[in-house]
Parts: sequence; C-alpha cells; structure tokens
Amino acid sequence: MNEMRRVFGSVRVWGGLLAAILLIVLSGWWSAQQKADRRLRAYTAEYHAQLERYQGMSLEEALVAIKDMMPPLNEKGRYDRHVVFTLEQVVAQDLQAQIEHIQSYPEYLVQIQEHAEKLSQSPLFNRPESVSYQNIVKTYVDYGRLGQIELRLDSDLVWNGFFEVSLPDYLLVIWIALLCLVLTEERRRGMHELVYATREGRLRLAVKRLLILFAGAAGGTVIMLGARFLCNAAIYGEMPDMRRTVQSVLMFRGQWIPVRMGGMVLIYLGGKILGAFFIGMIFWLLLSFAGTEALSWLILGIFTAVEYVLYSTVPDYSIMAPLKYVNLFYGIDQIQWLTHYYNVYWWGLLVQAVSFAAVSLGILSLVLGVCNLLRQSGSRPRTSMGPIARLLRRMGGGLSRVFTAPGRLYNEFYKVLIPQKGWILIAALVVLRILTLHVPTLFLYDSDIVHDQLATQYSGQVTSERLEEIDRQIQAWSENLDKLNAEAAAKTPSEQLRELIQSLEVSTVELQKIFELAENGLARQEAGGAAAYIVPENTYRLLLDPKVTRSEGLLDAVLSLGGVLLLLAGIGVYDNRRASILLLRAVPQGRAQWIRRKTIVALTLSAGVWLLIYGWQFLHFIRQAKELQIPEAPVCNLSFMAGTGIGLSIRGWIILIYGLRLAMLMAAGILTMGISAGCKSLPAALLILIIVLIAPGVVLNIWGGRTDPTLPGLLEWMEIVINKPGAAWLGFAAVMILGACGGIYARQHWVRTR
Amino acid sequence: MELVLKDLTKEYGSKVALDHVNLTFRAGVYGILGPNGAGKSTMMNLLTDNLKRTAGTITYDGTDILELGQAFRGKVGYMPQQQGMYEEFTARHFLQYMAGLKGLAPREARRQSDELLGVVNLHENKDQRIRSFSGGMKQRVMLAQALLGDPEVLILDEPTAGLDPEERIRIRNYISQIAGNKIVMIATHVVSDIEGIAGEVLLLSEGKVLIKGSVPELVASIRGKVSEGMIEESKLPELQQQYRISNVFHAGEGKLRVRIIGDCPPEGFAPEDSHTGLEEVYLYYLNQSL
Repeated sequence: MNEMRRVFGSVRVWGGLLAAILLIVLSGWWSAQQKADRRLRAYTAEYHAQLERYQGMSLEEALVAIKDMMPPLNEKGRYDRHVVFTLEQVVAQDLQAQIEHIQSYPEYLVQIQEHAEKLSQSPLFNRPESVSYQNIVKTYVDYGRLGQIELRLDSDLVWNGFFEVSLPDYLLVIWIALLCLVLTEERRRGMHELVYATREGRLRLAVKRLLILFAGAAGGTVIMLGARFLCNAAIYGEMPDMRRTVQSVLMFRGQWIPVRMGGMVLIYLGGKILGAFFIGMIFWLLLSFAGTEALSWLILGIFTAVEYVLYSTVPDYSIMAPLKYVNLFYGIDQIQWLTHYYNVYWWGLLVQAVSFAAVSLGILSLVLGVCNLLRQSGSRPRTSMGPIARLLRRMGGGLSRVFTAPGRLYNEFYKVLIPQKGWILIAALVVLRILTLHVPTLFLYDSDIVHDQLATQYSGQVTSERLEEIDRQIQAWSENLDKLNAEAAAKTPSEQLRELIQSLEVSTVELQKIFELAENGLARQEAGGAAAYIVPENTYRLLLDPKVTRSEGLLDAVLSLGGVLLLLAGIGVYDNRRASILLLRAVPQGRAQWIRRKTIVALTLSAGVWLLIYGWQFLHFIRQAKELQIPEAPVCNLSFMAGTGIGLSIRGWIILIYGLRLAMLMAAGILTMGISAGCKSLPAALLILIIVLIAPGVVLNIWGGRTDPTLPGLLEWMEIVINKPGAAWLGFAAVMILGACGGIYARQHWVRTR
Repeated sequence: MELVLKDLTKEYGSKVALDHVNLTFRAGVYGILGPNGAGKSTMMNLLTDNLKRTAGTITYDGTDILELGQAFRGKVGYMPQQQGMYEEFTARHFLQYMAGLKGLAPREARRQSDELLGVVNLHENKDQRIRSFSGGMKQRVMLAQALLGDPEVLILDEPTAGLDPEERIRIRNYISQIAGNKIVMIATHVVSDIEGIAGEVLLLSEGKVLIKGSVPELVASIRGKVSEGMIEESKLPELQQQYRISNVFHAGEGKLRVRIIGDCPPEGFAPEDSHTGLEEVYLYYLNQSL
C-alpha cells in the first residue's frame, strides 16, 4: 500500500495524467475543429440534420438527394479543381461516403469471396502448401462469416474521433514511461543500497511493483480512453450507439470479426491495456540498467528509435515480421490491427496479425514479467559506473568543451538548453509546428467566389473613371436581368435560363457591394483619408480575418506562449537552486552583466520561438497562397477591416501584427524570467506564471462584462492583436508593462543587496 | 593592502548578528572561530556585499568597498558555506564559467581552471559532472573557483568541511603557501585547520569579537586555566555540570583522566599546560562569554 501511495502520489505520475487528459481534450477539440473545417458547431448540427433526413430515406434515395445538393461534375466525372464546397456540401460528402459504404458492403463481401475463389483456381496460387494459397483460403473463411450481418446508417462522428486520433496513444506511452521512472527512482537517487538492504526490498517489492505497473497501465488506459470517448461525445453532443455492428462504421470496412461497437470498444480497451502493460514492462526493465535520469532517457530514446525503424521498414511477409507487429508503435497505434486485414506467416503457420500480436503480447508479457521480477529483485546496487554511464560521461565532457569555448553568453544558453532540457522542448515545438502547419479553409458561397473574381477584375486604386466603369457594368447587367426575368415570366423557364438568371443576379449584387465599398473609399480618400483600393481579399481573409483565423490564431498563441513559458520558466529557478547566488554576486560580472546575459538569452529564445511558430507558419502560408495581391493598399480597404479606418498598408499591417506578436512574446519571456528569478521550484514558477497570466483575463472578463471566457490573460491579448485591432493597444501595453515589471523584479532580486 | 572593518553592525530585526566589530586585516591568514550563529557568515556576506550593513564601514585601502563595487569584487575570491553549484556542469566547465564571470579572458580562464583543478587534485575528474562528485570533491571545486583570478582577498567559509585528512592537509598547505601577499580569511569550526597556518585568530561569539591574537598569544592567555586529574567514572556527570571538559580518557579500573578548563579547578586537579591548544582557548573564552 505504501509503495502504491508513493508511486501514484508522485507529482510526475498524477501531474502527468492530468496533463495528458488536458492534452487529450485539447487535441480532441482541435482535431474535431479541423475535420469540421473550423465550424464545429455548424458542422455537427448540419451533420445531425442531414443524417436524420437520410435515415428516413432508402440508401438510394439518400444518394440521389446528396447528388442534387452537390455541384455538377466535369466531363471526367470529377469536381473542378476550383470548386469550393459549402458546409452543407462538405457534410453531404462525408455522409455520402458512409452511405456508399453501407450500400456497397454486400457486394464488397461477394467480391472478396469471388476474388479468393478465382485466385485459388489460378495455377500461380493453387498449391495448397504455398503461403499465398493459405492466405486466400483464410481470407475466404474469415470474411465468409460476415454474410448475415446488418449494417445501419448512423453517426460515425464520435467513433471517428475516438479511434482516429493517435496523440492520446502516445501520451499513454509517455505516461507509462513516467510511471516506470518513478518505479525505479531509488536507483537514480542513490537509495538503491538502502532499499535493497531491507527485508522486503527485493522480490516482494518487485512483485508489488509489477502489480502497480499493471494497475497503472489498466487505470491509465481506462482514464485516458474514457477521457477521449467522453470528450468526443461532448464535442459532438451525442452518445453513440454501442449496438451497431462494427462494419457499419466506415473506418471498420475491413473488419472481419462479427461484433458490435460495444464489443469492439472492449477489444480495443483490452488490447490497449495489454499493450501499455507490455510497453511498461519493457521500459521498467530498461530503466533498471540506468543509474542516472539522463541515461534513462537515452535508453528509452534508443529503444524507441530502434522500434520505429523496425515498425516502418520491415516488410509484412518477412521472417522479421513479428518484430514489426510486436512492436512499440503497433502497440501504440493498435487501430491498424483492427481496421486492416493482415495475416502473418510464422514458421509454417498463417495467423491473423492481430491474433498473433495478442497471443505474442500475452506470452511476452509473462516472460517479461518473470525477467523483470528476477532483474528488479536480484540486481545488486551498482557500486561503480557502468560502461554506458562512462560513455555518457565522456560525451558530457566533450559537449561541455564545445559550450565553454565560445564565451560567457553561450554558457547561459547552455544552461537553458542542456541541463534544463530546453532542446527537448524546442524539438517538441518543431514537431508540433510541423504537425499543425495550416492554411485555414474558407467556406465560400458561390457569391464569395464571384465577389473575389470581380474584385480581381477591377482591382487597383479607385478612381472616378473606374467607379463609372463599374456602374456601367451594373446597369448593363441589371437591364439584362430585367429582360431575362421577363422572358422567364412569359414561359416556363428552362434549367439553363434559371441558372443564367441566378448567376447574373449574384454577379450584380456582388459588383454592387464592390461599388459601394469603393465609393465609400473614394469619399474617404477625397476627405483626406487613406487611399481607396479594390482588393481581392480572400487570401487576406485567410491571414487577417478574425472570423477565419480564430482557432489557428489561438493554436499558434498557445504553442508560442506555452513554448516561451516552458522554455524560460526554469531560467532563474535553475540558478536559485543549483548555484549559490551568494557566490555569483561576489564575482565582478556576477551582477549587472550576468543579468544582462540572462535577459539576452530570454529575448533570443522568445524570438526563436516566434520565428519557429509564426515565421514558419507565415512562410508556409505564403508558399500555399503564392502571392499577396496589392499589398501596398491601405488595410481599411479590406471589407473586414473597413470599420477600423487604419491607413497603414496591408504589408505594413502584416509586419505590425507579426512585430507585435514578437514584442509580446519577448515581454512574456522577460516576465517569465522575472517570476523564475523569485522561485526555487519549477512548479511554483509555472503556477505563478499561470496566475499572473490568467488573472488579468479573469478581471477583464468580470470587469469588462465579457461573455467569452475561453481565452485567458495573455492569450486573450495575443488574440486581440490578431482579431480586435481597435482594442489591441490596451492589451499590448499591459503585456509590455508586465514584461518590464518582470525585468525590474529579476534585477532587484538578483542584483540588489538585501 | 588593508581591509578595515569599522563599527560594523548588522541587525536582523531585533537580533544583532554583528555588533560594532572593529578589525583590520593585512596580508596573512586569519582564522575566524566561533559557534553557530556567532556572526562569521554574516561578516563574510558583508565583506562580499551580499548583505546590507546596518551601520559601520568596510574600507579597502582607504576606500569603502561599496564605492569600489565591481573593482573590489574583482579582488575577492569567495567560497561560501553552501555548496551551490551547477551540478550538470563538469568541474572544468564550472570553473571556466566562474572565470568568465570574474572577467578572465577565455584562454586565461582555461589555463587557470586546469591549473587549479590540479591543485585541488581533481585533474582526473575534470570532465565529470559535478553531480557525480562526493561532498569533498564538490568542496574542492568550490575552493578552486575561489582561487580563480589570483584574488588579493580570499574569503573561505568552512573550506575543509567534508574533506578527508589527506586532502585537508593538502589544501591547508596550499592556502598557507599562497597567503604571502593575500588577505586570507578562514571561517571554520575545525580548529586544527587554522591552528598551524593562521597568523591571527579571531574568536567571535554573538556578533562580538571575544578575543584576537596569534595562536601562541592566545594559548599563553589561558596559561594555568587547564587542569588535569583522575576521577571515579561515576563522578563525571557532576563534573560536567560545573566545568567545561576538554578531554576524557579511560585509565582503567573505573577511573577517568579528565582535562577541564576553568579559572578554579576542583580539588585533586593540577594545572597542565604542556598540551594546551587552540581548541581549549576556544572553549575557555566561549565559556567565559556565556
């Protein structure tokens, strides 16, 4: 019981679990937003509405209804490349895929059977002893059991969210690694001799720990999968039907077991628990060889890399295939086992990969369990450094020479990047950036596309001649429209005529809007305001329109701010804990110059994070968007910025926005340094940072009567800069003041004599 | 080279940690003895401007050290009592880092670091992380960093704590060797560390200097105050209540030979000055002050 309390009471374990749950919720929400093209609520509502409609129809009728809703196909039977789908059409396409799957499923089964029969008669494959023949027969038998199942159209949203997002699986593995680190803690804290010398410190303790590891694997898996399921249920506002046959869900089209969704969840859960336990036992065994934390991470890193190479390079039907399937990454990403039909050939036997993996996992778990018990209870405390530790020491020495050579500033970078493991965080940020690079998708109605085409046609500075030209065009179209309407009223209009009228109406209305905006702009220009331009603005909406960029902006703000805070939260804590400040203050450059170097480090790393998150994202955007049209036009010419009256050019506005974000991140960096200077523990520094950064947001919400509490503190202000330029300066000034306070406090704390 | 403390006072609220201390230090080794809370570390922290003084002055060659600021800190080598170090650094990296903060050029920093690691017998461990060092090894790294830059004033707070006898003697001899043109202040509990090398010893208690002088002078000042005698084993507790006892030796057959320190020895005890040392001086004056 004491051991269990020690392990599960560890901040690493429960803090890790809480952090994992938080990330699962965030990733679930983010992934759902992405799938719904950032209109989650509208998408969900539309999905449920259309689903209900189609459930009342036969599958054929539903497909016809969807076809009517979609834009026409070109002569190749595809949609034109420039077609932009409306939300209704996006939802209809998703449901169309589901319906087509259900409709074609019986035929799909027949095809598998026919294919198997045909192959088995082919002279190439009909040798009963050959692997191919056995594979054909086995496929035939496995899928033959599915003839009687009944598929039903229902919502797949929760199931897709639950099974498809793999981040929670990786989080589970990281958490298991943390659990194992805590299990083996005494080896790295020099307490192994003490524990080993006690009466119950050997086999009995090892058995207890094995049970704790299993409990942790089971509990952690249930909690994390539970969180993932509930999160998706909450996001989509539905509790999915557990009684549906599993093949009804599109992603399980290749599934060969006749089971219902409830059963599949249990199979998945069981597999996950076994996988987590198995991975945990491997980690536990490996960590028992590590005398230091650094070595522990090195071992885990090398093991993970080897596993990934096996996972990604070993062919399915090689003698090494078991190493591919009984693998950390297959253990993590188990959904592949359940959605893809694979057979593994192993010493003359053909078995399903999933069955093979399950049985192997079970047997190997037993073997590993015994190995662990022997190792954990039998290994004597190490009295001298092992070969790996010696190698690491040499590497450490070499690394330290590299870092000491260039100068004093590098030492301050070294402290953040190497001992405080900042490099891991930067690597994680790079990976996260790569995974989240995005170009927002615009939901465009036909009218939006027409508007942009017309704006491109008439783009440039507005003159009275251009206004007249537009006006003439509007008049011509209006007259034409009157004639067509009269023609349509006289007889039953043809489909072509109806489409023509509709198209002309849209063009006229949109050109009228352009005219009005341009006219207002010209009036403003003549009154001495910013020059009037007609600018095609769809690209700019993707970059600057708050309605379009909100979720991406929030993600970038979270990544960049989170990166700066985590990277710099230890900058002062480390010195307060590791170095005697008294000692530093007693040397000539240990006061003002030292803090100057610290400040440079904080600013540089903040700028680095900005470059990594915003710079990379901007480059990605530009690469996708190809070009920014008329960037010299004042920004108030963009319809969504019209109310601001800002005369700065679009180019200048973009530079300003990105510059402000840089300044805010730098201020956040200095604030972080200041708070860190006053703390002796990292959690305390992070807690204070969160309070300082969230409290103003809460005040803003209460005092300002705001109704949207989702963006606290600094994040809110980052968003203001992006989304609410009118109120930007207040937030910006507040962040700058906070940053300055942080800098002053750090100086006071470290430099002034008390 | 003269470091003068004049009426130096430090108060923490109502507690007086240092009470109008007047001292003058010139080149040589100074041993500062005193029990916990006597004010030794406070004095060291005032000398390194880590604490704000309540009253008094500290001048170096006639100028207040606060005015000298960085220039004075450039002349000081300080080894604090706490072993605060960057434990993820190697020994050499840490020394080069500190050398950088002391304003040494990189080449000179490397040269001195390597040389001092040899002096403190850590040359073979120079590329090991400090985290893997024993307490004694860490202590030697701290001493080496204090010696960087060849400081004129060396302030060492418990420099030999945790060292084995051989290392202790080695370090002691090195300090003595370099002390010719430096002011070396050694605050310690270990009397033997300064007995052989300190030109002058200060005894601090409750923020005041109880006595100062050379070791022979101090020993002479308690001549006749140390007595020795035989007692029954059962009498020891009673004797301990009345006198400060410096040594107890089992003579066999239930008898103990006891050395006591005090102005009026009990009956049967005779003055015995032949082995009197600094430890007994310390005990005598401390007892007097209580």
